[in-house]
Amino acid sequence: MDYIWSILPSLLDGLKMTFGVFGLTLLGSLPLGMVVAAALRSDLDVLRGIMNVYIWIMRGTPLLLQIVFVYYGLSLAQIATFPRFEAAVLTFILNYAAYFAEIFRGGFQGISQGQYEGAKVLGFSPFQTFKLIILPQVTKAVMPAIGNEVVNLVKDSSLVYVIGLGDLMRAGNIAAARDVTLMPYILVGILYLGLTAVATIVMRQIEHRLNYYR
Amino acid sequence: MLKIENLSKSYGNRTIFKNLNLTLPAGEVLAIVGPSGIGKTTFLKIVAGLLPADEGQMILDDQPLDLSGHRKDARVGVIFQDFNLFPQYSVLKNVTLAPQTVKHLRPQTAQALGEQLLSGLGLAAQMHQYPFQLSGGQKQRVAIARALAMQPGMLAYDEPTSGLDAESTQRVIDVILQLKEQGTTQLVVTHDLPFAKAIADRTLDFGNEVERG
Repeated sequence: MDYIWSILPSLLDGLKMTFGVFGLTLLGSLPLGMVVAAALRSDLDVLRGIMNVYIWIMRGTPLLLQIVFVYYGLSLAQIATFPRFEAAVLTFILNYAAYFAEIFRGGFQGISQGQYEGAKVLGFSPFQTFKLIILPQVTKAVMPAIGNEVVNLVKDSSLVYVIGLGDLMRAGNIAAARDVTLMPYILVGILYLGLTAVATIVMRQIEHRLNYYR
Repeated sequence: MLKIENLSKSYGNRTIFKNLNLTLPAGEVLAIVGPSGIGKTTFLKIVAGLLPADEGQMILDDQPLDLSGHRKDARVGVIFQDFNLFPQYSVLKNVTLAPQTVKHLRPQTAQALGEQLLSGLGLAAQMHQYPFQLSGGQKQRVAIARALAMQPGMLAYDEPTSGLDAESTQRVIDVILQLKEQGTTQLVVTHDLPFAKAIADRTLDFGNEVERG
Protein backbone atom coordinates (compact mmCIF):
# COMPACT_ATOMS: atom_id res chain seq x y z
CA MET A 1 0.00 0.00 0.00
CA ASP A 2 2.85 2.35 0.85
CA TYR A 3 4.38 1.55 -2.49
CA ILE A 4 1.19 2.56 -4.29
CA TRP A 5 1.15 5.87 -2.44
CA SER A 6 4.79 6.41 -3.29
CA ILE A 7 4.36 6.07 -7.06
CA LEU A 8 0.90 7.62 -7.32
CA PRO A 9 2.15 11.25 -7.59
CA SER A 10 4.28 10.44 -10.64
CA LEU A 11 1.40 8.51 -12.23
CA LEU A 12 -1.01 11.39 -11.62
CA ASP A 13 1.58 13.71 -13.12
CA GLY A 14 1.56 11.50 -16.21
CA LEU A 15 -2.23 11.61 -16.15
CA LYS A 16 -2.07 15.37 -16.67
CA MET A 17 -0.18 14.84 -19.92
CA THR A 18 -2.75 12.21 -20.97
CA PHE A 19 -5.57 14.67 -20.27
CA GLY A 20 -3.76 17.40 -22.18
CA VAL A 21 -3.33 15.27 -25.30
CA PHE A 22 -6.90 13.95 -25.00
CA GLY A 23 -8.58 17.32 -24.50
CA LEU A 24 -6.64 19.27 -27.12
CA THR A 25 -7.07 16.50 -29.66
CA LEU A 26 -10.85 16.50 -29.28
CA LEU A 27 -10.95 20.29 -29.36
CA GLY A 28 -8.98 20.40 -32.60
CA SER A 29 -10.07 17.27 -34.43
CA LEU A 30 -13.87 17.52 -34.11
CA PRO A 31 -14.15 20.90 -35.89
CA LEU A 32 -11.42 19.93 -38.38
CA GLY A 33 -13.22 16.65 -39.07
CA MET A 34 -16.40 18.59 -39.79
CA VAL A 35 -14.56 20.87 -42.22
CA VAL A 36 -12.97 17.88 -43.98
CA ALA A 37 -16.38 16.17 -44.18
CA ALA A 38 -17.80 19.33 -45.77
CA ALA A 39 -14.89 19.38 -48.23
CA LEU A 40 -15.60 15.74 -49.10
CA ARG A 41 -19.06 16.85 -50.25
CA SER A 42 -17.69 19.69 -52.35
CA ASP A 43 -18.28 19.93 -56.10
CA LEU A 44 -14.56 20.53 -56.66
CA ASP A 45 -12.93 17.27 -57.75
CA VAL A 46 -9.47 18.51 -56.74
CA LEU A 47 -10.56 19.34 -53.21
CA ARG A 48 -12.33 16.01 -52.80
CA GLY A 49 -9.26 14.23 -54.16
CA ILE A 50 -6.91 15.95 -51.71
CA MET A 51 -9.20 15.13 -48.79
CA ASN A 52 -9.46 11.50 -49.83
CA VAL A 53 -5.65 11.19 -50.04
CA TYR A 54 -5.34 12.84 -46.61
CA ILE A 55 -7.83 10.41 -45.09
CA TRP A 56 -6.19 7.47 -46.83
CA ILE A 57 -2.78 8.36 -45.39
CA MET A 58 -4.07 9.05 -41.89
CA ARG A 59 -6.13 5.88 -41.70
CA GLY A 60 -3.73 3.76 -43.70
CA THR A 61 -0.62 4.18 -41.54
CA PRO A 62 -0.07 3.55 -37.83
CA LEU A 63 -0.54 6.54 -35.55
CA LEU A 64 2.77 5.64 -33.90
CA LEU A 65 4.55 6.04 -37.21
CA GLN A 66 2.82 9.36 -37.82
CA ILE A 67 3.98 10.72 -34.46
CA VAL A 68 7.58 9.68 -35.20
CA PHE A 69 7.35 11.17 -38.67
CA VAL A 70 6.01 14.54 -37.50
CA TYR A 71 8.47 14.85 -34.62
CA TYR A 72 11.67 13.38 -36.07
CA GLY A 73 10.98 13.15 -39.79
CA LEU A 74 9.88 16.71 -40.47
CA SER A 75 12.76 17.99 -38.40
CA LEU A 76 15.33 15.79 -40.17
CA ALA A 77 13.97 16.82 -43.54
CA GLN A 78 14.24 20.42 -42.31
CA ILE A 79 10.59 21.09 -43.09
CA ALA A 80 9.43 21.99 -39.60
CA THR A 81 10.59 21.44 -36.06
CA PHE A 82 7.99 21.07 -33.36
CA PRO A 83 8.45 20.71 -29.62
CA ARG A 84 7.44 17.23 -28.43
CA PHE A 85 4.06 18.11 -27.02
CA GLU A 86 3.03 20.24 -30.02
CA ALA A 87 4.18 17.51 -32.41
CA ALA A 88 2.14 14.92 -30.55
CA VAL A 89 -1.02 17.02 -30.37
CA LEU A 90 -0.74 18.08 -34.02
CA THR A 91 -0.41 14.46 -35.13
CA PHE A 92 -3.31 13.35 -32.99
CA ILE A 93 -5.54 16.14 -34.32
CA LEU A 94 -4.68 15.30 -37.95
CA ASN A 95 -5.20 11.59 -37.34
CA TYR A 96 -8.47 11.81 -35.43
CA ALA A 97 -9.89 14.47 -37.76
CA ALA A 98 -9.58 11.95 -40.60
CA TYR A 99 -11.61 9.36 -38.67
CA PHE A 100 -14.14 11.96 -37.55
CA ALA A 101 -14.47 13.24 -41.13
CA GLU A 102 -15.42 9.74 -42.30
CA ILE A 103 -17.95 9.45 -39.47
CA PHE A 104 -19.45 12.87 -40.28
CA ARG A 105 -19.54 12.00 -43.97
CA GLY A 106 -21.68 8.99 -43.16
CA GLY A 107 -23.86 11.18 -40.94
CA PHE A 108 -24.45 13.69 -43.75
CA GLN A 109 -25.31 10.89 -46.17
CA GLY A 110 -28.01 9.70 -43.80
CA ILE A 111 -29.91 13.00 -43.98
CA SER A 112 -32.69 12.82 -46.57
CA GLN A 113 -32.83 15.30 -49.43
CA GLY A 114 -36.29 16.19 -48.15
CA GLN A 115 -34.81 17.96 -45.13
CA TYR A 116 -32.84 20.28 -47.41
CA GLU A 117 -35.88 20.85 -49.62
CA GLY A 118 -38.12 21.47 -46.62
CA ALA A 119 -35.70 24.11 -45.37
CA LYS A 120 -35.23 25.69 -48.79
CA VAL A 121 -38.92 26.31 -49.49
CA LEU A 122 -39.19 28.04 -46.10
CA GLY A 123 -36.46 30.46 -47.18
CA PHE A 124 -33.64 29.25 -44.92
CA SER A 125 -30.18 30.19 -46.21
CA PRO A 126 -27.68 27.35 -46.77
CA PHE A 127 -25.88 28.30 -43.56
CA GLN A 128 -29.11 28.43 -41.54
CA THR A 129 -30.12 25.09 -43.01
CA PHE A 130 -26.80 23.58 -42.00
CA LYS A 131 -26.79 25.01 -38.51
CA LEU A 132 -30.45 24.62 -37.53
CA ILE A 133 -31.69 21.66 -39.55
CA ILE A 134 -28.84 19.41 -40.67
CA LEU A 135 -26.13 19.65 -38.00
CA PRO A 136 -28.39 18.69 -35.07
CA GLN A 137 -29.53 15.58 -36.93
CA VAL A 138 -26.00 14.65 -37.99
CA THR A 139 -24.79 15.11 -34.41
CA LYS A 140 -27.38 12.68 -33.14
CA ALA A 141 -26.63 10.16 -35.87
CA VAL A 142 -22.85 10.14 -35.37
CA MET A 143 -22.76 10.23 -31.57
CA PRO A 144 -22.35 6.45 -31.02
CA ALA A 145 -19.45 6.29 -33.49
CA ILE A 146 -17.85 9.42 -31.99
CA GLY A 147 -18.12 7.83 -28.55
CA ASN A 148 -16.18 4.86 -29.82
CA GLU A 149 -13.38 7.08 -31.09
CA VAL A 150 -13.30 9.05 -27.85
CA VAL A 151 -12.64 5.85 -25.89
CA ASN A 152 -9.97 4.89 -28.44
CA LEU A 153 -8.36 8.29 -28.00
CA VAL A 154 -7.99 7.77 -24.25
CA LYS A 155 -5.91 4.66 -24.95
CA ASP A 156 -4.14 5.96 -28.06
CA SER A 157 -2.84 8.92 -26.08
CA SER A 158 -0.35 6.46 -24.53
CA LEU A 159 1.52 6.42 -27.87
CA VAL A 160 3.12 9.78 -27.09
CA TYR A 161 5.70 7.90 -24.99
CA VAL A 162 7.48 7.14 -28.27
CA ILE A 163 8.80 10.71 -28.50
CA GLY A 164 9.58 10.85 -24.82
CA LEU A 165 6.52 12.62 -23.47
CA GLY A 166 5.77 11.77 -19.86
CA ASP A 167 2.20 10.54 -19.94
CA LEU A 168 0.50 8.03 -17.67
CA MET A 169 1.86 5.02 -19.55
CA ARG A 170 5.40 6.31 -19.50
CA ALA A 171 5.19 7.10 -15.77
CA GLY A 172 4.15 3.50 -15.21
CA ASN A 173 6.94 2.19 -17.41
CA ILE A 174 9.57 4.14 -15.53
CA ALA A 175 8.35 3.01 -12.12
CA ALA A 176 8.10 -0.63 -13.25
CA ALA A 177 11.63 -0.64 -14.65
CA ARG A 178 13.10 1.14 -11.63
CA ASP A 179 11.39 -0.93 -8.95
CA VAL A 180 11.26 -4.23 -10.86
CA THR A 181 7.59 -4.80 -10.16
CA LEU A 182 4.38 -5.10 -12.17
CA MET A 183 2.41 -3.07 -9.66
CA PRO A 184 2.72 0.23 -11.58
CA TYR A 185 1.27 -1.45 -14.67
CA ILE A 186 -1.70 -2.68 -12.66
CA LEU A 187 -2.26 0.85 -11.39
CA VAL A 188 -1.90 2.27 -14.87
CA GLY A 189 -4.45 -0.27 -16.13
CA ILE A 190 -6.89 0.71 -13.39
CA LEU A 191 -6.45 4.41 -14.16
CA TYR A 192 -7.07 3.82 -17.89
CA LEU A 193 -10.14 1.75 -17.06
CA GLY A 194 -11.40 4.61 -14.90
CA LEU A 195 -10.78 7.11 -17.69
CA THR A 196 -12.50 5.03 -20.35
CA ALA A 197 -15.40 4.37 -17.98
CA VAL A 198 -15.88 8.10 -17.45
CA ALA A 199 -15.58 8.76 -21.19
CA THR A 200 -18.12 6.02 -21.92
CA ILE A 201 -20.59 7.31 -19.33
CA VAL A 202 -20.30 10.90 -20.59
CA MET A 203 -20.81 9.84 -24.20
CA ARG A 204 -23.82 7.66 -23.24
CA GLN A 205 -25.31 10.62 -21.39
CA ILE A 206 -24.96 12.81 -24.47
CA GLU A 207 -26.53 10.07 -26.62
CA HIS A 208 -29.35 9.72 -24.13
CA ARG A 209 -30.00 13.45 -24.17
CA LEU A 210 -30.28 13.41 -27.96
CA ASN A 211 -32.73 10.52 -27.84
CA TYR A 212 -35.78 12.67 -27.22
CA TYR A 213 -36.73 12.32 -30.89
CA ARG A 214 -36.49 9.76 -33.64
CA MET B 1 -53.23 34.86 -58.56
CA LEU B 2 -50.69 32.58 -60.18
CA LYS B 3 -49.90 32.96 -63.86
CA ILE B 4 -47.70 30.45 -65.65
CA GLU B 5 -46.55 31.35 -69.14
CA ASN B 6 -44.83 29.13 -71.69
CA LEU B 7 -43.20 26.98 -69.04
CA SER B 8 -40.99 24.21 -70.45
CA LYS B 9 -38.86 21.51 -68.92
CA SER B 10 -36.89 18.68 -70.41
CA TYR B 11 -34.20 16.27 -69.31
CA GLY B 12 -31.75 15.75 -72.14
CA ASN B 13 -33.94 15.08 -75.17
CA ARG B 14 -36.88 13.93 -73.08
CA THR B 15 -39.44 16.71 -72.89
CA ILE B 16 -41.41 16.64 -69.64
CA PHE B 17 -43.72 19.47 -70.72
CA LYS B 18 -43.59 22.28 -73.21
CA ASN B 19 -45.19 25.75 -73.37
CA LEU B 20 -47.38 25.15 -70.36
CA ASN B 21 -49.79 28.02 -69.77
CA LEU B 22 -51.94 28.22 -66.72
CA THR B 23 -53.84 30.78 -64.70
CA LEU B 24 -54.88 30.07 -61.15
CA PRO B 25 -57.12 32.84 -59.82
CA ALA B 26 -56.64 33.91 -56.22
CA GLY B 27 -58.48 31.71 -53.76
CA GLU B 28 -59.03 28.88 -56.21
CA VAL B 29 -57.97 25.27 -55.92
CA LEU B 30 -56.42 23.64 -58.96
CA ALA B 31 -55.84 19.91 -58.99
CA ILE B 32 -53.21 18.53 -61.33
CA VAL B 33 -53.95 14.89 -62.03
CA GLY B 34 -52.44 12.14 -64.13
CA PRO B 35 -50.66 8.83 -63.69
CA SER B 36 -47.32 8.66 -61.90
CA GLY B 37 -44.18 9.25 -63.91
CA ILE B 38 -45.82 11.81 -66.15
CA GLY B 39 -43.97 14.82 -64.71
CA LYS B 40 -46.42 16.15 -62.14
CA THR B 41 -43.86 16.17 -59.37
CA THR B 42 -41.25 17.79 -61.63
CA PHE B 43 -43.79 20.50 -62.36
CA LEU B 44 -44.52 20.95 -58.65
CA LYS B 45 -40.81 21.18 -57.85
CA ILE B 46 -40.43 23.94 -60.41
CA VAL B 47 -43.39 25.79 -58.89
CA ALA B 48 -41.78 25.25 -55.47
CA GLY B 49 -38.49 26.70 -56.71
CA LEU B 50 -36.57 23.48 -56.14
CA LEU B 51 -35.86 22.72 -59.80
CA PRO B 52 -34.95 25.16 -62.58
CA ALA B 53 -37.29 25.62 -65.53
CA ASP B 54 -35.80 25.66 -69.03
CA GLU B 55 -38.05 28.43 -70.27
CA GLY B 56 -41.09 30.44 -69.36
CA GLN B 57 -42.15 32.50 -66.41
CA MET B 58 -44.35 32.39 -63.38
CA ILE B 59 -46.02 35.39 -61.82
CA LEU B 60 -47.54 35.20 -58.37
CA ASP B 61 -49.58 38.20 -57.23
CA ASP B 62 -47.98 40.42 -59.91
CA GLN B 63 -44.42 39.55 -58.85
CA PRO B 64 -42.32 37.13 -60.91
CA LEU B 65 -41.13 33.99 -59.14
CA ASP B 66 -37.51 32.89 -59.41
CA LEU B 67 -37.35 29.84 -61.69
CA SER B 68 -33.58 29.30 -61.62
CA GLY B 69 -33.83 26.63 -58.93
CA HIS B 70 -32.21 29.04 -56.45
CA ARG B 71 -35.28 30.74 -55.06
CA LYS B 72 -34.66 32.48 -51.76
CA ASP B 73 -38.13 33.56 -50.72
CA ALA B 74 -40.96 31.50 -49.28
CA ARG B 75 -43.79 32.91 -51.39
CA VAL B 76 -44.88 29.44 -52.44
CA GLY B 77 -45.66 27.30 -49.40
CA VAL B 78 -44.98 23.63 -50.10
CA ILE B 79 -46.52 20.56 -48.48
CA PHE B 80 -44.36 17.59 -49.41
CA GLN B 81 -45.53 14.04 -49.82
CA ASP B 82 -43.26 12.96 -46.95
CA PHE B 83 -43.98 16.22 -45.07
CA ASN B 84 -40.26 16.81 -44.40
CA LEU B 85 -40.87 18.04 -40.88
CA PHE B 86 -37.77 18.70 -38.80
CA PRO B 87 -37.63 15.73 -36.39
CA GLN B 88 -35.52 17.45 -33.73
CA TYR B 89 -38.03 20.23 -33.14
CA SER B 90 -41.43 20.22 -31.46
CA VAL B 91 -44.52 20.72 -33.59
CA LEU B 92 -44.72 24.36 -32.49
CA LYS B 93 -41.05 25.01 -33.23
CA ASN B 94 -41.42 23.42 -36.66
CA VAL B 95 -43.95 26.15 -37.35
CA THR B 96 -42.19 29.08 -35.65
CA LEU B 97 -38.57 28.43 -36.67
CA ALA B 98 -38.75 29.91 -40.17
CA PRO B 99 -40.81 33.00 -39.23
CA GLN B 100 -38.31 33.69 -36.46
CA THR B 101 -35.12 32.91 -38.36
CA VAL B 102 -35.99 33.98 -41.88
CA LYS B 103 -38.56 36.73 -41.28
CA HIS B 104 -37.04 37.83 -37.98
CA LEU B 105 -40.37 37.79 -36.19
CA ARG B 106 -40.09 38.25 -32.43
CA PRO B 107 -40.27 34.95 -30.55
CA GLN B 108 -43.54 35.92 -28.84
CA THR B 109 -45.10 37.00 -32.13
CA ALA B 110 -43.99 33.81 -33.89
CA GLN B 111 -45.21 31.73 -30.98
CA ALA B 112 -48.65 33.38 -31.06
CA LEU B 113 -48.84 32.89 -34.82
CA GLY B 114 -47.83 29.24 -34.51
CA GLU B 115 -50.34 28.54 -31.77
CA GLN B 116 -53.10 30.21 -33.75
CA LEU B 117 -52.33 28.25 -36.94
CA LEU B 118 -52.00 24.92 -35.15
CA SER B 119 -55.20 25.44 -33.16
CA GLY B 120 -56.99 26.34 -36.35
CA LEU B 121 -55.91 23.02 -37.83
CA GLY B 122 -56.99 21.03 -34.79
CA LEU B 123 -53.49 20.48 -33.42
CA ALA B 124 -53.72 22.42 -30.16
CA ALA B 125 -53.05 19.27 -28.15
CA GLN B 126 -50.02 18.26 -30.23
CA MET B 127 -48.05 21.52 -30.13
CA HIS B 128 -45.41 20.29 -27.74
CA GLN B 129 -45.07 16.82 -29.22
CA TYR B 130 -42.42 15.78 -31.72
CA PRO B 131 -43.11 14.73 -35.31
CA PHE B 132 -42.40 11.05 -34.61
CA GLN B 133 -45.29 11.03 -32.12
CA LEU B 134 -47.85 12.12 -34.73
CA SER B 135 -50.02 10.25 -37.22
CA GLY B 136 -49.58 10.84 -40.96
CA GLY B 137 -52.61 13.11 -41.09
CA GLN B 138 -51.39 15.16 -38.14
CA LYS B 139 -47.91 15.50 -39.67
CA GLN B 140 -49.49 16.79 -42.82
CA ARG B 141 -51.45 19.45 -40.97
CA VAL B 142 -48.25 20.51 -39.20
CA ALA B 143 -46.64 20.83 -42.64
CA ILE B 144 -49.57 23.00 -43.75
CA ALA B 145 -49.28 25.17 -40.63
CA ARG B 146 -45.52 25.46 -41.17
CA ALA B 147 -46.03 26.63 -44.74
CA LEU B 148 -48.81 29.06 -43.77
CA ALA B 149 -46.66 30.61 -41.04
CA MET B 150 -44.52 32.21 -43.75
CA GLN B 151 -47.66 33.86 -45.18
CA PRO B 152 -47.08 32.56 -48.69
CA GLY B 153 -48.96 33.77 -51.75
CA MET B 154 -50.11 30.22 -52.42
CA LEU B 155 -49.80 26.64 -51.25
CA ALA B 156 -48.58 23.72 -53.36
CA TYR B 157 -49.21 20.11 -52.29
CA ASP B 158 -47.45 17.01 -53.59
CA GLU B 159 -49.71 13.93 -53.40
CA PRO B 160 -51.31 14.97 -50.12
CA THR B 161 -53.43 11.82 -49.74
CA SER B 162 -50.77 9.22 -50.39
CA GLY B 163 -50.38 7.03 -47.35
CA LEU B 164 -53.43 8.48 -45.57
CA ASP B 165 -56.47 6.48 -44.50
CA ALA B 166 -60.01 7.49 -45.48
CA GLU B 167 -60.58 9.48 -42.32
CA SER B 168 -57.34 11.46 -42.68
CA THR B 169 -58.07 12.04 -46.35
CA GLN B 170 -61.45 13.53 -45.41
CA ARG B 171 -59.64 15.74 -42.91
CA VAL B 172 -57.28 17.00 -45.65
CA ILE B 173 -60.27 17.75 -47.85
CA ASP B 174 -61.82 19.73 -44.99
CA VAL B 175 -58.59 21.66 -44.40
CA ILE B 176 -58.12 22.52 -48.08
CA LEU B 177 -61.71 23.71 -48.35
CA GLN B 178 -61.37 25.65 -45.11
CA LEU B 179 -58.25 27.41 -46.47
CA LYS B 180 -60.03 28.06 -49.75
CA GLU B 181 -62.81 29.81 -47.84
CA GLN B 182 -60.15 31.97 -46.23
CA GLY B 183 -58.95 32.88 -49.73
CA THR B 184 -55.79 30.75 -49.99
CA THR B 185 -54.72 29.92 -53.54
CA GLN B 186 -53.87 26.23 -53.71
CA LEU B 187 -52.31 23.93 -56.28
CA VAL B 188 -52.60 20.22 -55.60
CA VAL B 189 -50.73 17.50 -57.47
CA THR B 190 -52.46 14.16 -57.02
CA HIS B 191 -53.26 10.90 -58.74
CA ASP B 192 -56.32 10.44 -56.51
CA LEU B 193 -59.25 11.43 -58.76
CA PRO B 194 -62.09 11.32 -56.19
CA PHE B 195 -59.95 13.48 -53.92
CA ALA B 196 -59.25 15.93 -56.77
CA LYS B 197 -62.98 16.13 -57.45
CA ALA B 198 -63.73 16.86 -53.81
CA ILE B 199 -61.36 19.82 -53.50
CA ALA B 200 -60.79 21.38 -56.90
CA ASP B 201 -62.44 24.26 -58.68
CA ARG B 202 -60.59 23.05 -61.73
CA THR B 203 -58.67 19.96 -62.73
CA LEU B 204 -55.79 19.79 -65.18
CA ASP B 205 -55.07 16.39 -66.63
CA PHE B 206 -51.29 16.39 -66.94
CA GLY B 207 -51.39 13.27 -69.09
CA ASN B 208 -53.70 14.59 -71.81
CA GLU B 209 -53.85 18.37 -71.71
CA VAL B 210 -50.16 19.18 -71.45
CA GLU B 211 -47.99 19.50 -74.52
CA ARG B 212 -45.00 17.21 -74.55
CA GLY B 213 -43.36 18.19 -77.83
